[in-house]
Amino acid sequence: MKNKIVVVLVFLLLITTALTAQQTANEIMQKVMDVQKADSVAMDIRFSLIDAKGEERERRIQTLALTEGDLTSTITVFLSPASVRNTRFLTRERSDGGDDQWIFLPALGRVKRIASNEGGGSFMGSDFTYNDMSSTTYDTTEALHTLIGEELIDSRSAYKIVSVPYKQTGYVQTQIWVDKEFYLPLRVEFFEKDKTTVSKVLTTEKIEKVEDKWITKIVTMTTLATNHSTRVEILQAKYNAPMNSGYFTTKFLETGRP
Amino acid sequence: MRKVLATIIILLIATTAFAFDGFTDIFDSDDSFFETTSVEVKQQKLGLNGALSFNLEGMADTSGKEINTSINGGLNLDLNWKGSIVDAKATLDLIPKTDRTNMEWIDIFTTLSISTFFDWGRVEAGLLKKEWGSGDGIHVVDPLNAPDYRNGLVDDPLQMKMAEPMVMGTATLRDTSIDVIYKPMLIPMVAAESEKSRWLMPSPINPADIYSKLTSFGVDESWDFKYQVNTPEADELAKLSHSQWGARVKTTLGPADLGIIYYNGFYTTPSFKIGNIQEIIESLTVNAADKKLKVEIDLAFTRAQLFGLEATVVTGPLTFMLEGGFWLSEDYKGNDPLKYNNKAVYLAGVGFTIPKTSAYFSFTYSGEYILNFVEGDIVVQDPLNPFDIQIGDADYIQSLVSSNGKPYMNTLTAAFELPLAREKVNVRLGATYQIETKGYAIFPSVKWNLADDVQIKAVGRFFGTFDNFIPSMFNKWSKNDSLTVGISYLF
Repeated sequence: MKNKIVVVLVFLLLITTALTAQQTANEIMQKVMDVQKADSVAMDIRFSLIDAKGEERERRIQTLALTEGDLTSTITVFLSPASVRNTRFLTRERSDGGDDQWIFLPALGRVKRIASNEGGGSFMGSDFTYNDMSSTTYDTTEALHTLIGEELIDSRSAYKIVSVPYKQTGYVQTQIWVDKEFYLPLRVEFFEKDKTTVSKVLTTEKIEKVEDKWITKIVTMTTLATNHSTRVEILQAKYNAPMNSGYFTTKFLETGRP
Repeated sequence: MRKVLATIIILLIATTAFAFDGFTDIFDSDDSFFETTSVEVKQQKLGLNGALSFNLEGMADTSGKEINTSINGGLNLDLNWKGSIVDAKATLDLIPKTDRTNMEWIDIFTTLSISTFFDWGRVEAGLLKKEWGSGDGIHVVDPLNAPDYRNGLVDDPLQMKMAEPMVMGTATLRDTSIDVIYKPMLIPMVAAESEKSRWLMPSPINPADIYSKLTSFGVDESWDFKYQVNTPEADELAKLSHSQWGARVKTTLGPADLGIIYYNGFYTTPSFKIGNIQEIIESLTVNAADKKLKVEIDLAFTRAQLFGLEATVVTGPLTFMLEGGFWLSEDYKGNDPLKYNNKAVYLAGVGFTIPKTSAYFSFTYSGEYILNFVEGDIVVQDPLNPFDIQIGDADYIQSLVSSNGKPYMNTLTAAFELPLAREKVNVRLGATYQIETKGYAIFPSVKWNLADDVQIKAVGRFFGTFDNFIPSMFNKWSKNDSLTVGISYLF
């Protein structure tokens, strides 16, 4: 549960707009970072957990992120299934770089302060984990990015970049294909410690223009060993929309009212 | 039952409702989700959630040769109506009990509340369950709801709380909130009353135990044995003199959530004394030829004030939980045998998610220390006194049944939870160990989500003690091990 908001952020990172030209790996990754910037982001997201037999289970969340100063607060509400409905999760970034996190579990009816979890636990039973995120940093200060070429991914021209995070908490290396036109990650491969075995693959299935931004509308993460996958569909996305700061409070967690 | 349902529905319609249907002010609300999970009623939302379950609990009979079964499934309904400034909520447990002929309101209403929201906070009124304290389900500074022991102990302490009539106002400013609570009457803890119940609480003053003590003094069936409990009437507990109130201030300071608590109320466990010890001794000695014996038990409730602190401190992957408090009794001098003394309470716990997994582990140490109580101080060495106590001091009797006669009681509680198969399966093991009585309870459970809305489960309850000679609820319930299998549909 504690990882959920972090995993949600992966979707924010997948949202970019188009830029141009020959660049270094760091410049490309910086653009991936820059184009997703917004004072506020709201997303309505559907997860489809698909097992090897093709059977699907759905989860639905809504998440809001608001940046004030340089600090970002994020609230996530779980809408379905019934077993997690009305679970609410608040993360507030501190100026020292850490996070404050609280969770509201409807079965308990109260707000609990919780520690952040830097483990590899699954997010809502999906193929996403916290480690997936920490291994997929686009920040040029957090990973060594190397441009190793250009390839076609589903007929789209893409930069192929190898990223090695300086702090290795999960995967030791990722390989990312960044769309040359829209600066969207089209494919990410996650490598095991041997740096040759790919354990998971993230693929972009659909991109769409929302307001002035191009976003990855649908992405799928597949765990190769089990052939289990998670399709993530952004049903709605809003950028820089007016957002009540009361949503990012423990009061909202407890009452559902800002 | 129909009348109850009709009343609730009317109440919900007559007022306006505590659920959350998404950020409807930000997202378009015209998609299928909102159409399928709520019904628009004049721009207000009526929500219906709940679970339909069927559980079968098996427990070996006292001979150990047969299995007694009971059905404890039913319908749990969560009705809520959300208006512009008012929420109404009713949670009902419509669970027939094969071993209970009458259902009381505490069996049906888990919550019945109306909440009004203001810019500065909210006011809630109704039958509420509220929780104070930072512990992981276990608390020592949470006096707001009395426990229900009629079905023994279960893994979820919240489930054992009874909803009570109360009004609670909460004012919020940034990360600081103030709760003010008022309860108009005293709702004491409840326990099994029938002498035949397997969940009868241990007590040196229940008739069976008293009678068994008296038999060694020559009392038998030929005696005219009378037993009388002088209990405060329900009307008495509903008088203004039994109202209770309290307040909590809670705030966030860096990596810590801190709370200060004041509560002016009652210990929910009744205090008692054996009212006629001297008369009993005389009946067993100088008047033994009369073969007449009457035992009178006086019950009372002790008013006390709680001064408490709670803290949750987060560091790295660890969440530390701390609670401490002091109960200042109306018998603060400790010289009224019918009332409980002052006591200090304390709790320290830690919880963490095991790295690289979704497994969660928590460990809690909690306890209490009764003041002005010297262990063994009032034990009478009189061989003619069947109860070993001179005047039946409430604290001493309580300590006899809960902490092996000690003025202190300490408990260790641990829980381990492991989601498996992408959260389709959840394995949990809860355990508690009471140090002074060497009693334990273990609660293993496995829940398997066949689908997102269908769950089957197997839940065990095991009680025992490492010392059969020390009285405790764990000892008394040691033959009450049970296994429950059930299926639930969530909607």
